[in-house]
Amino acid sequence: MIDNPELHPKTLDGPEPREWHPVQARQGWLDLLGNLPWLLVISAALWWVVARWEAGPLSHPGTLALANGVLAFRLLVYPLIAVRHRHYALRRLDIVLRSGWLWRSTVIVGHARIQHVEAGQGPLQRWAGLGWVKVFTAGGIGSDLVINGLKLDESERIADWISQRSKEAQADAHGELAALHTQAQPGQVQPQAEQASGPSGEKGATPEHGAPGAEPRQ
Amino acid sequence: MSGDGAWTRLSPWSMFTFALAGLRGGWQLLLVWLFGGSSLGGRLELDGALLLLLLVAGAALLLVAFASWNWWFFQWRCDEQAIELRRGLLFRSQLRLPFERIQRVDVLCPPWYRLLGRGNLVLESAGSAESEVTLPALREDQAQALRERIRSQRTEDTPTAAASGPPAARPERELHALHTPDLIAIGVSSPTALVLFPVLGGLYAQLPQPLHGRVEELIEAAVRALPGASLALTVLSGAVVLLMLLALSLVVSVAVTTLRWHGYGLVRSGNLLRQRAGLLSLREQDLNRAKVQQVVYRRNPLQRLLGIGQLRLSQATTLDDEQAAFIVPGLSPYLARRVLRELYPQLASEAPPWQPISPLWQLWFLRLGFVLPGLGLALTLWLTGLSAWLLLTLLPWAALLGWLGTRRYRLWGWRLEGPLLCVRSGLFGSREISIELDRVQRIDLLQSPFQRRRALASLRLWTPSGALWLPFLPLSTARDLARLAQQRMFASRVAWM
Repeated sequence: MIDNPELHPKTLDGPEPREWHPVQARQGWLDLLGNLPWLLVISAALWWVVARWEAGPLSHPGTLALANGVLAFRLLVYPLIAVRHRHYALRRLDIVLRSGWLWRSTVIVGHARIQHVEAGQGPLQRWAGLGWVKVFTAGGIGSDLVINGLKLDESERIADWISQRSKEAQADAHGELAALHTQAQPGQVQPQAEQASGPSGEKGATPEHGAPGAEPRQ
Repeated sequence: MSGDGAWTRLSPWSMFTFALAGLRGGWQLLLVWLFGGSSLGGRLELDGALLLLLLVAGAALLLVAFASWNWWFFQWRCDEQAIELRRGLLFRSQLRLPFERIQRVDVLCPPWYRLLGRGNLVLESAGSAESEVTLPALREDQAQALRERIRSQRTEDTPTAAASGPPAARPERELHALHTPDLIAIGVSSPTALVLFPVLGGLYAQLPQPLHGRVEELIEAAVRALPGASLALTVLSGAVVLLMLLALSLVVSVAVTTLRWHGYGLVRSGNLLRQRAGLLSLREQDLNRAKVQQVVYRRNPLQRLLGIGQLRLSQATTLDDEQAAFIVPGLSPYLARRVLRELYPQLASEAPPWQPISPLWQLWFLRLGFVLPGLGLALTLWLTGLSAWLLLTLLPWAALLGWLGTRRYRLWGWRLEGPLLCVRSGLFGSREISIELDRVQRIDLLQSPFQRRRALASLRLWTPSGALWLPFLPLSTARDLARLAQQRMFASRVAWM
């Protein structure tokens, strides 16, 4: 799957891929474990605040219970649910990560825009044999896409593949740029035209659906 | 040109710049020196004046030593492709900036260098850790020659330059200039005036009593001269003081504006936009058309009233520095459109209409601003037994929020135009951000539970120079835009710079 990705133009038909890959569900338990100290610290602080309150709604024991309930849900239950909603897809031209249970987000990063990729694991993950992959793009806004909760070997293979793929995609762009200079007719190349000049020969495949106003840049 | 091939030192005048940089970087150290020295001197029972002289002389000596050290160990040279710098002795650093990587070449002439016919050349490159480099105190012709050289090297390798011929072959065309009325309008509407007003008020309140009394006496005398004003005397004189402070802050703000933008001119020559301005320090900036990634047209409420705004053209730069930004001030919407069309000639002279976002945004705004805080307020009032106040507070609050929400909703809009995606937003002022879809490097599609129930989504597109946020689109539109950005991202032949 990773070394030989499926390269069918149909997968390009929208921002969201057809086939998603889940991350390891064990990661949810790790997130829970990692959140435990926070839960203890925050509820101790809450208890301390409420205990100081002489009268009023905050001194009601129900308030403390409610606050702790919300906290426990967010820190202990939510990670278990959220991890089941974390999916990723590696495609020929981009990487897509979908995450979130209540608030959902889909993040898409194109290979040609990737600056570097990192793979690694946290202390708890080391114990569980899991890891993460971080993808960085230019512009200094931190990592753009983090796939957390992959099997360690998988995360390393994915990072290698992404790094290789982004090099190819960028060589593509630069090679084509140079070719344009020799022709000195940059405006006449259509972005949608089939290109076979890249090392992979797959760049610029024609997307099926027309997009609103997709005219080439002059 | 000096700096060709062999390593050369800068002119000794550059020590000014190094000394200033030393002062800027080491003023804490200077304070420690002065205070520590004076307390030590006090213990040694030295004469006050002598001590001060010694301390200042010592500080000056240190500064001169610092400046000359920096000057002596700063060497540079340039070859066909790059400019190289060598700095420092203990911490030696060598930096090579290839011309094609250089994003920005500015010439900055502070007043003392203008007298000597010299200026600083400021270079900024993309993607390197040390992204800004200054070559201080170059002779003006030298700076211009170097700048031309970097420009010509830089523009040759952009595709648009190849299409439109070498920049030297093209005459300069004036796009925009500022005259005195423009400077006044910019000064009056700039935020400086708003900040200055309370500051000046505070300063006035701090004036010593005799001075205070004198000013008020004068004003009272003036007000008394008006017929029938004796009743509202105190109110009137208070108002006069406020008006005077306002006028003063406006004058200062106009003066600051004049310092920065005096003699402003924006011209286009080939692929470059060049602008120069400044009363005391002269600043010359240029911008390669092909490297612009994001264009922001911003107008604050006052500027909207006066019919002006400012255009900010960003390249792929990690610096978010006001000084470094390429800002075109005092543009009417019509002129802003003209400048935008200079950057993107394929745009029509008439902008297409703005597409609205989903009207449900207003509902969300009301919920966010009303339901949650309102519930909190209701709970508090009920618990504290002040429920009579509930209606009185909540109703005006709801009315205000409704008005604000509708107003803001009407300003939200987006449109696709040539290579650009533009988004407008605002409340009293407005902001129009245009990004090139070719430069998008990351696409976020977000849905809250509220949006999921109503088939809506928010979109965020990231370029190296910033992100563009578009909330509450119909899901299909958001997907279409994401898909379009995706296709441009894949198909684009442009490197991210």
